Amino acid sequence: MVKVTPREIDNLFKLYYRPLCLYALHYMGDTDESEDIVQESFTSLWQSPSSISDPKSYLYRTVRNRSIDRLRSKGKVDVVPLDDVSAISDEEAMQRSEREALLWTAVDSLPAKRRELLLLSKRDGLKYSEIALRMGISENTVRNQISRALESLRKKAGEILYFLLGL
Amino acid sequence: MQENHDRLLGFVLKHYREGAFDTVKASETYTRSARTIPFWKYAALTAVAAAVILGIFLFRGGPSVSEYSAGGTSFLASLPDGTSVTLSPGSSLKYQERKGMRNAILDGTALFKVTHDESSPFVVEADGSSVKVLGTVFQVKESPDKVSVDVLEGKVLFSGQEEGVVLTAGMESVLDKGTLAPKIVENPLPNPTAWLSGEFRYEGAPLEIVLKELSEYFQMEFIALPEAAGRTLTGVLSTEDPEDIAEAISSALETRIFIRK
Repeated sequence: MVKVTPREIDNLFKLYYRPLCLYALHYMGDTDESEDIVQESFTSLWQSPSSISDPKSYLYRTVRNRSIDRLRSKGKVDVVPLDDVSAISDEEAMQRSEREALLWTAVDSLPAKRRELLLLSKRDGLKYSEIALRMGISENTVRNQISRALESLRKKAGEILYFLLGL
Repeated sequence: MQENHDRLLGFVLKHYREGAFDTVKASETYTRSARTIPFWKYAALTAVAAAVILGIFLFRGGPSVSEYSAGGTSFLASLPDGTSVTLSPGSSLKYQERKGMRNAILDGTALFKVTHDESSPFVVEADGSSVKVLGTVFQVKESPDKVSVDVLEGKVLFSGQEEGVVLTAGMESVLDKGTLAPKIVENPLPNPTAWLSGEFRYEGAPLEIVLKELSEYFQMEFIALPEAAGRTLTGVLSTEDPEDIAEAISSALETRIFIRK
């Protein structure tokens, strides 16, 4: 059992800020609120007077508890994550968050135009024909660009094997 | 795996907002607020996690071997000890438990989620190398000509056929195909987890190292003018846009950085 040093916190922040945000997002469904909760959780780790044996688990736990508290204070009684998180273990939830963080970063890295087309289709639910009309390009270009975006995201996701063991 | 990927990606895309979850930005805000914490909080102790390094284990085959292989699609295998392994298409795995050891031989690429059991270390062997798990976080990348391991937390033992190296946090080691012992990388690329944090962070890093890392990450060639040789870089760059990065470095070092795609 050791206190967490500033340097360790810095490392934890670097590694887990984004995954923790995605973890919170499953509860909150809102990026700003998720970021608030993750920031608060790091502060709570920092200010914790007692020793913390496993800071990473502590962070995930704190993010979850704070998310649930916040939802309850808004009057949601029966708090369940947006999708079926309850059916997976903490360990699985951590891994999933890390993989989602990787995908988030990969989406960030897409060329801006291609990302926009992808989001119009997958996030905003527009049809290819609607996107084509809106952007003044051919439907074929839309299809090509989106399929190239998806392909590069898939490649990025498969590029790195991430081992998370017995923490 | 594919279905899982699509589900995770669906979630990410549904909520994606440009500029959100920016580790660099958030860390600046956080550092500012953290500075208001009294000084005594800094008086924290560090401890080095004790890790017992056992000898190099060589797989010699034997009874009760489980075999798994993925055909045209990814395949999720559940090993007898509860470990789950996702094999990429065309990859295969042999797994065996013998007294006090769990051994997996990997041909290809796989993601392991190992059930923690201190009395029985888990060893992954891939292409003449092995990685022994001692309770840690590390990443393994397999490319056609080498296997490389980066350790983020704790310790791992990474072994070739003849010799192994113990790696601790911040270290990187590479086993080139056809060689028997992994080599420790003298100047490991500073940001092996840029894909996760969304940032490249440099503190006095030689420009050559920076350009090498960027070239590998983006799979395009970053080139500097000869005049910039020997310069160093300090700063934080977002992984978002390679062109922006080249521009940022160019103006910081008052030179030109080119990208060859």
